[in-house]
Amino acid sequence: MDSLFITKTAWRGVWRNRRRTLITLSSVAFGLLLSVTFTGSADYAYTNMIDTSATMGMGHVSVTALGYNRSPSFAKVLTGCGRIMAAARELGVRAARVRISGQAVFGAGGRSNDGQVIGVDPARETPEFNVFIRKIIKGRMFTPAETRGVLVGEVMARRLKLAPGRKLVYTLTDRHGEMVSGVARVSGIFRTGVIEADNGVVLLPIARLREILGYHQDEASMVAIFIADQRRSGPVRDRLVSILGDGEREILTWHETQADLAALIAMDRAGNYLMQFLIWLLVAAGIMNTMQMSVMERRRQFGVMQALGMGPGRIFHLIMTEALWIALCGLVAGALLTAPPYLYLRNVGLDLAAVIGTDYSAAGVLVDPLLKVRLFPERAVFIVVFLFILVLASALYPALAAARTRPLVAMRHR
Amino acid sequence: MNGRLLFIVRLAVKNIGRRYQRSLIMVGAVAFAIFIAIYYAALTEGLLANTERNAVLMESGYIQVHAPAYLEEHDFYQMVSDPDRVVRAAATYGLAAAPRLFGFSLAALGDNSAGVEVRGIEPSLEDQVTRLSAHLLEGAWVDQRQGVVLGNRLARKLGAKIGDKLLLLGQAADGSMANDLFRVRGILKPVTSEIDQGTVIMSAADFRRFFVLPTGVHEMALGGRNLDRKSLASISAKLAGRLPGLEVKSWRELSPVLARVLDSTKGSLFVMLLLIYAAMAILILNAVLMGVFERIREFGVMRAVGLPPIAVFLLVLVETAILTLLGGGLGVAVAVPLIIRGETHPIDLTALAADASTIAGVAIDPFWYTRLTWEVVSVPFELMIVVALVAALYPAGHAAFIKPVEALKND
Repeated sequence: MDSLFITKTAWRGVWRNRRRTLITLSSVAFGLLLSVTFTGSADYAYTNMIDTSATMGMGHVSVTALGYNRSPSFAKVLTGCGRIMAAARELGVRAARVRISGQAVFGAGGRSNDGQVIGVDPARETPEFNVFIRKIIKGRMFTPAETRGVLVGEVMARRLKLAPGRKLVYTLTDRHGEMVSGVARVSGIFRTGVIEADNGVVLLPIARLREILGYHQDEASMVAIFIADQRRSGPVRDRLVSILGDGEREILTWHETQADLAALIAMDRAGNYLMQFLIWLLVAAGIMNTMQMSVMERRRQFGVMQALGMGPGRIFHLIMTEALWIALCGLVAGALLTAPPYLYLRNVGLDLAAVIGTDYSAAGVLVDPLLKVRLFPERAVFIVVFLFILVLASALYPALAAARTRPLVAMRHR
Repeated sequence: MNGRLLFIVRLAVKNIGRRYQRSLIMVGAVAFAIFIAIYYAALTEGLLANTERNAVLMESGYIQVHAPAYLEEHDFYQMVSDPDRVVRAAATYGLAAAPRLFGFSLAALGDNSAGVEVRGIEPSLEDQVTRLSAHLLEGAWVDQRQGVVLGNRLARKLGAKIGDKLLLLGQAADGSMANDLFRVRGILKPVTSEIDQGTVIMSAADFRRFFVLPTGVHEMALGGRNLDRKSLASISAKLAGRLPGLEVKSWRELSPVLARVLDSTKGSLFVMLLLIYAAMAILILNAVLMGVFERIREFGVMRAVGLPPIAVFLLVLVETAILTLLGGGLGVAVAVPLIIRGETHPIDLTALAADASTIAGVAIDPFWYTRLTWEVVSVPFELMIVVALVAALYPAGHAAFIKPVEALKND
């Protein structure tokens, strides 16, 4: 009964000055709109970059020989690929691909260029999990029958004067550190928009590389594993470790294999959250200001209440309940304000190509100029909890001030 | 009119003093907002300056000169045959010019190998254009006796340590096989993804011996003094006129993506400012409006004794302006020393970001330096005054159109 009374009184207290409350609510709603779009657009962009980066070679989770991630070379051979693939299938991942990858020098017609070889199985590789196949601009992907096919980047093709059908020589060091080379004919040319890839990555048939490097059928550089939700990379890695055992191979997530992307995301996220936090502090300052004013205006009321036997604890309770109402109404107002732009940004998005262009890369990954949002449920919960804590915290001081009102002084106040 | 304005200002000052508690809250809020705005602007400015510095002072120089087709094809045989002509032309604009040579080879160290771009430089001239020689993670700069410097990711890939002997294998200009051992003398800090992942730097003399290339250079990098955007464009245009048959490009043309990213980050800074100020505007609107409601009777009296609505309107605006200026001044006074400190004491993000990352191929450090410029302070400050006055318009209008009779009834 008593708490119902306080709840009702608090509701009336909130709406005693409608204009003021509406302005306060609008600041809460504004903060919510900002938090949702900032967090949502960042998470969408990060996910996009992580997924794209995964298709540039190593997947979300990768299994390699020990020490491969730190210094990749053809001397670090992963054995038992079949068993690893079976384990990945058992976990129900979206896809897993066996690949050979390392550094090489490429030459054509007296010109040369350095870069990275990725050996793939043309029978299994699909555009979905391989950005280079997805971005072919000339020619096509080599077929399983074309054992000497090769896919090169646009910039390297220009520098080595390559076109589909032309010859490319590649030189690399095999598992024993011996120099070996091979010849291939260009099947296709890709353009990712990332200079490092367009001037560096070369795709070769894995069977041919195995031959040249002296790898057995079950050997490769890595098994790249793709999952539907990048946030599950850690758990998937842990389960792989428990199935395959640790110690003889390296099982890593994109955090370690694409450390520069992880670093970029960590820094960007820090800046983003800092910004949101600062804006929320301003919102909190506004709430504290209005609560304090409203308490000061109602000193007489609190004095009367105390004189009628309502203790300081209950007055404190009353003001905090008012704050709770403000948080709740702010949440509703914020949801109403946020829903239309959120739905628009989720379904349509904002094309920023005119501002950042279509060839802006960060951490070696192309940044999609389409601004979209995707709010993960756990982030939404966090934002709401944060909002309530913030509003309640900013009401603490005014509530204490109200509770400390001395009846006699207050009732004289006019 | 002047006398009347002075009267309003005096009245405003009195009012502020009379309600010092409310005034303090508002000054505090404005100070806080402008502190955030200025500090954030200084951090962004620092990040941009650092990125531009990594690109220009560590790698490209301000302007580069190549043989016409070199940039497109990176053809080993497309060379600037008379580098002295470029040096003389650059000197007329007070710029130094450093020659560079580029070739590809395979680098091997133990079991590890990598394709690398070998870069030959003239150490004394390079120092006049870039600060690469001071950007070492460990070890020392290249010498004339087969001592080379590696990009940091390349060093990691190869497992190279200072003192290791690196085998380079390539094709020399005369078609013969070039191979030789070089000693790793130094490892660079992150610069650009190209240098970090695959560059071996050696002296031009070693390069010429290794690749059997007695004359000519692939690139002339010009720098040595600071060029702003305008002089960059005008000098590179004039140089192009003086160097017919060669390709002259500014770093903005060489790295258009980076230039655009830097520009658009400046744009996003402005959006950020607006967002901070929108939050501040709501706060000011509420505070001033509450102030007006509390003083309805007071304004009624003023109107009753003959003050015109415009005077009441101005009174509220002037009060807001004074409080905003006080808050702004306080915010600036707190922010500027912190920014100056941040120019030498960066925010250390290494705990968050173990590795260096890149934007448009240029390394960004996990250390955030601030940078103090006139715009960093003036733009947020000016914008703040505008926003505060706009936010006060509605409350001021409300106060101006109070009907004296009703206001006097109100208590």
